[in-house]
Amino acid sequence: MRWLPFVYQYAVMLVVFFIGIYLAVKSKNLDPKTSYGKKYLFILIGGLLFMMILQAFLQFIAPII
Amino acid sequence: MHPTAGTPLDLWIIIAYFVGVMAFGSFFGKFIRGTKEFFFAGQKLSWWLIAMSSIATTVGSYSFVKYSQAAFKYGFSSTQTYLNDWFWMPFWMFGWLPIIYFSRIASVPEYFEKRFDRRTRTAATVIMLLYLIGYVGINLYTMGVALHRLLGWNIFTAAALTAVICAVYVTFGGQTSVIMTDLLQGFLLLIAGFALFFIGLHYVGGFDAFWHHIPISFKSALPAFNKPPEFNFVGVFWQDGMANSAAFYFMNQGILLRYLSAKSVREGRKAVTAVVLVLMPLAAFAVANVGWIGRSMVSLGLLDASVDSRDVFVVVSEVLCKPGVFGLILAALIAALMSTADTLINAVSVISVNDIYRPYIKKNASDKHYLLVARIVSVVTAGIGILLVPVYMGFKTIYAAHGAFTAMMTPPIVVAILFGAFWKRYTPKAAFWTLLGGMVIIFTSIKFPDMIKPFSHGVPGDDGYTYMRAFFGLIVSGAIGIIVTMFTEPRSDESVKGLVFDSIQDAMMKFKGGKPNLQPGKKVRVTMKLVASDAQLIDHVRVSVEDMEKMRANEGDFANLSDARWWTGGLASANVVLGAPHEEAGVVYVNEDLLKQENVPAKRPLVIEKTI
Repeated sequence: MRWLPFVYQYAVMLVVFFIGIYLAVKSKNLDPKTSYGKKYLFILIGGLLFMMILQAFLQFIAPII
Repeated sequence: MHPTAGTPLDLWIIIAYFVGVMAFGSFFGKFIRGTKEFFFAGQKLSWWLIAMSSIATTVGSYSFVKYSQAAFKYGFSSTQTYLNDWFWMPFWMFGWLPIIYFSRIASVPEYFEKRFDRRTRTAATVIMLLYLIGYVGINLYTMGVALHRLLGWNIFTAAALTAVICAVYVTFGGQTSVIMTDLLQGFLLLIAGFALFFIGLHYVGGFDAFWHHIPISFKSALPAFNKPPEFNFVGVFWQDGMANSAAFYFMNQGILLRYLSAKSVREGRKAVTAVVLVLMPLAAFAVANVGWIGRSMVSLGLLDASVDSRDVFVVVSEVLCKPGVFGLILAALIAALMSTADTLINAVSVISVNDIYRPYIKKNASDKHYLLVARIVSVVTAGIGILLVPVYMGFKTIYAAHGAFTAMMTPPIVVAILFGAFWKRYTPKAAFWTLLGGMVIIFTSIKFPDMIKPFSHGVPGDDGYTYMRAFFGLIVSGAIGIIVTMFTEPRSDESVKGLVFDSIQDAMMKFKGGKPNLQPGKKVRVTMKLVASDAQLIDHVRVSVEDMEKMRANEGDFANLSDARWWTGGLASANVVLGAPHEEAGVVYVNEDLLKQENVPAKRPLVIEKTI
């Protein structure tokens, strides 16, 4: 059941994360039309992927190497 | 467990460390000219200074001991707490940080008064002061216990010594000293943590030996879903990932002050990115790896399997380190403890002055007067912290009670902040009842833990659902907030402008006193030319038309003028307003009186950049 904590965590986190992105974009505090907005949208989503890959590696790959 | 560890050389290193930190921190008192510097370090610091010092605050009291213990018992999942903060960042970077920065809010209670009403502010002030002062006491007590176990010192004496050292440099240098000493301590504790890992690898015979002698069940980023009750995924997730991470970034006064010290909101965003994506994973590794090395040593027969997991950090460190190196490791442990205590002391002084003294006791005093009061409060806070140590020593239930109080207050305040900042309809009455109602119900759940069972995700209730209380608290506080909001009157849109996420543009307008300029521009290198006091306003500077163009700046924009040497981190800088441009490229005209107020070097190359 290694997948259960991982799936649970990222299901909740993704909901919270994308509500945050939605509110930031909707209010134009994060404007993807500007270079700064694009950069931070990339950093935010990239950061989430980085954390996800790091934890997925430790959770699923590390035990078998 | 050894009654004392280390050698006389280690002891001398620790004493030298204490003296060094006190002298280093106190040195920055020379930068303090008013409460703005004392509380926010002048709001002109660079991102890397803020990031590195934040990590020292994050790695708090007993982190090395606590996470090494978890690592030794459960493996890599001890890192979970440090790796689940990022999902809050859209809310924090593009909501909460700009709201408090541009609204010039110094504390959470102050936000509550502006966003809701005075009684909500009063409730929040009382709750947060009790929490912070109790926390100062707990940190000092924890420090006393650690030094007692390590060096055999008397608990009270060790705690008092730490308090005096922190109080001295916080009183002199305020937030600037806290940041600079925490910068130093942040480096030290990361270096010490990594040094232990590499020494440990060498000791067990290399990486392969280490890796293959860790049980497979230990190689997992997340613990088992809901068992055992004292360390399970769902409990850690809701307590640390959801409640405590939100509390850390949105509510923790020390952390808010740290990011309010940034020279701009953009600089604050850079700092938090570095903290959460780079430094937190490094810190997770630094504080926990001794436990993994220890487990590997047990498998290899290099360490007694019956070692108490609570002592694993000290025992393994002592085995691995030669005299002198062990002293440095202990200094790192002390660094982790002190860098949290100093932040808390400074935070208490901010709330005391900003939320009690200024609004209720003396309204229109001079800034010099408030600075004096802030310094007195720092000393008094350290004093109260010392007085609490024997209380914690004598009554372990009080220690437990503070833990319960923390668990009780965190979810309601976090919910009130998040709803306040991201839901315009959320009403003052709802905020007040979220705080009080939430705390009362959570407190009741300590007495009647079965209330939490429906929310427990199958976690056994053997320990009274300690971990799952955070989830219960968030649900209850959220429900109170939503229900009361439905039946009460919200404040008008006009009155909450700049205080909720969809009106940050208004906050920026107020902050600047005009239209914000967000066009991306370049930094420009300049040299200073002094002009007479009466030639231009004191905080105004003038650069050439060409340089204004490079910065994409207009007259009236805010800018930061700083020493060109990046490593000064903004300490030698000033926040200024751009005046009418001149024709002399590469030169900045500065009012000679500005140099009396700000620490900008007149004869060195400078850099100027538009901030808003």
